[in-house]
Amino acid sequence: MAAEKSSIKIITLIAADGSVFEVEPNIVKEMKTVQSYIDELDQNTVSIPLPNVFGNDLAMIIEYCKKHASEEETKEAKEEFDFEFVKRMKSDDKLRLLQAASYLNMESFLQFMAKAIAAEIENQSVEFVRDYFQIESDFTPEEEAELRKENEWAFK
Amino acid sequence: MSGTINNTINSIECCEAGMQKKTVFQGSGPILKKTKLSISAHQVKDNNEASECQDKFDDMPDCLILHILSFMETKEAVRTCVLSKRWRNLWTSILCLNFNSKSFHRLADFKKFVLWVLSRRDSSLVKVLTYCRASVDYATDQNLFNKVIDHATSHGIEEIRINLRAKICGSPPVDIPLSLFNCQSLKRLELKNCHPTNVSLPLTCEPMKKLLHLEHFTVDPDRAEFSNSFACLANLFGFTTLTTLSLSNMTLSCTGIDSLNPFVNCVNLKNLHLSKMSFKSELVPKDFVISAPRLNHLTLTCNRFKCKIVVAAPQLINFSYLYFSPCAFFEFSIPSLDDLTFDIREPNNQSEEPHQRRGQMTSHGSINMIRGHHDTKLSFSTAEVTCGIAVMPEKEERSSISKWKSLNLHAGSTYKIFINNLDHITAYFRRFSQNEDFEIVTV
Repeated sequence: MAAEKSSIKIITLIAADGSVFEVEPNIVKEMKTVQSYIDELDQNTVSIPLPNVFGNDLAMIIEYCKKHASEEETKEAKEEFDFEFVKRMKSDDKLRLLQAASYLNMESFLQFMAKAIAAEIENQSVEFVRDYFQIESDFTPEEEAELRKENEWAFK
Repeated sequence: MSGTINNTINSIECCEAGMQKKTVFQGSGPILKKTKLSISAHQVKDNNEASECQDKFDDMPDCLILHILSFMETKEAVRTCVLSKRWRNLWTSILCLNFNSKSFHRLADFKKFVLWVLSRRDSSLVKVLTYCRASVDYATDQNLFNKVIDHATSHGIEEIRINLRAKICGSPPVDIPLSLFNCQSLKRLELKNCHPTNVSLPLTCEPMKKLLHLEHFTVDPDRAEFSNSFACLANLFGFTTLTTLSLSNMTLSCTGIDSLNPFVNCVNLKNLHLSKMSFKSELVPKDFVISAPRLNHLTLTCNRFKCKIVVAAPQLINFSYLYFSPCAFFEFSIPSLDDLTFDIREPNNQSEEPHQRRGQMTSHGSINMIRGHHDTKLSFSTAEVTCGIAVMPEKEERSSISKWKSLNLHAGSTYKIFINNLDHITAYFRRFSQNEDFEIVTV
């Protein structure tokens, strides 16, 4: 089994929009969904459709994986990269990437995205969070007032 | 903001798994399904092109929302209950509780909030607890503390971080609840700014802790049973299962012992970090021995040990030392120094130690490497020395010195030279040794 695995040179990932990415096996190690798929196959070349991930998102995920899989990069460089990586994303991107991370079963990337989203909505007003993520309140004003009263210590 | 809440992204597999409450997300990963996905992919695409707006959290499985909430303070997480009906009770299942009194105007409100949260959380597991209660006076709310710890330890807690900082002076007295010591699920424990009053409790059964971090943890050296604070800590927390031990900002005592070897029972210890540690002035052992059979990484930062430090860790691969005490003296008793990385620095005047005087010429003491076995080779991949004294044992064979791959010398922060052989090293030291701080012993 080990020999078969090591014989795989390049893995082809096909995103939802049909865009194709060729990556080294060590890049997809973090993607457990993909890895388990590879492990089941005996072929030398693997092509994997990822119909729930868009090309743009997949490109970002691969960029992240490449940086973090690199042994040459220092811890500081990786942190710097993470900082910039989050900075250039809109909230939409983060939510899509979080879902993609969940679908691909990427534990640390999922943590990373969840943390980034949490940082955005933390210390914001309820109205802001609702507006930001476009959640439509299905409470009546009375119900909401009641809830606020019930959880008053959180709103102090 | 169009009102298209018509979501078609419904095939994210985690939805199915995630909707089942109390699923641990790490383990509930989706499995690649080859059927039906291509159809939904087109739907996703079309939908995305048609409208960019949608209620983004609507298609987000609960497990992912809970994941996001677990990175926030619990107060913030509770506030999401008014977002919509779906969110109303979501927070009650979060796996991480994070209480911080700083987010409340009054400690009374903080207490009410904490008790309210505990009462609302039925039987959901708590994996991580962060409890920071910064009191204005030198007092801990023992009752509240007990309740929080008891709740956590009875709900499968794995990681606890506690900080009980008093505003005026460091570590307020606290009775550490017995349940904390006996908690079997606990893997990581961090205690900051605590002064435990019940430390003489015997350890009944040692929990399978992996990581222990103690900071500003006061062990009263005046009481008789604390003649050896390390033994006291080991007795209190149990060291044998630890893989990482980090002690910081503690004053310890040690009486009547020539050679202190506090980590000898840490049979599983891989990482040891000691920073800003000191012994009570008159209670200093002659030798401070760091001996742990599996130790890989040793970090000593700004400690004030006025004694010889003997490092006897056969599996050491990384030794990092940040200077503080000018009379630190090292002895390494290690079978092989092959591939051992030394990183010896002085406090950087910008970052590490603000109270270190700028530009002050210091020597980090002598680093004496005495090797027990003469047939082993000395080969540093990197030895980073900041202008100080490097004393090599005279027995050292020239050939082994030539195996140094590089010696990275910093003089202040301006010089950074890589030197490949000993002549250059001695030349280098000579050049900088007009200052009396330097002494060069060549082989």
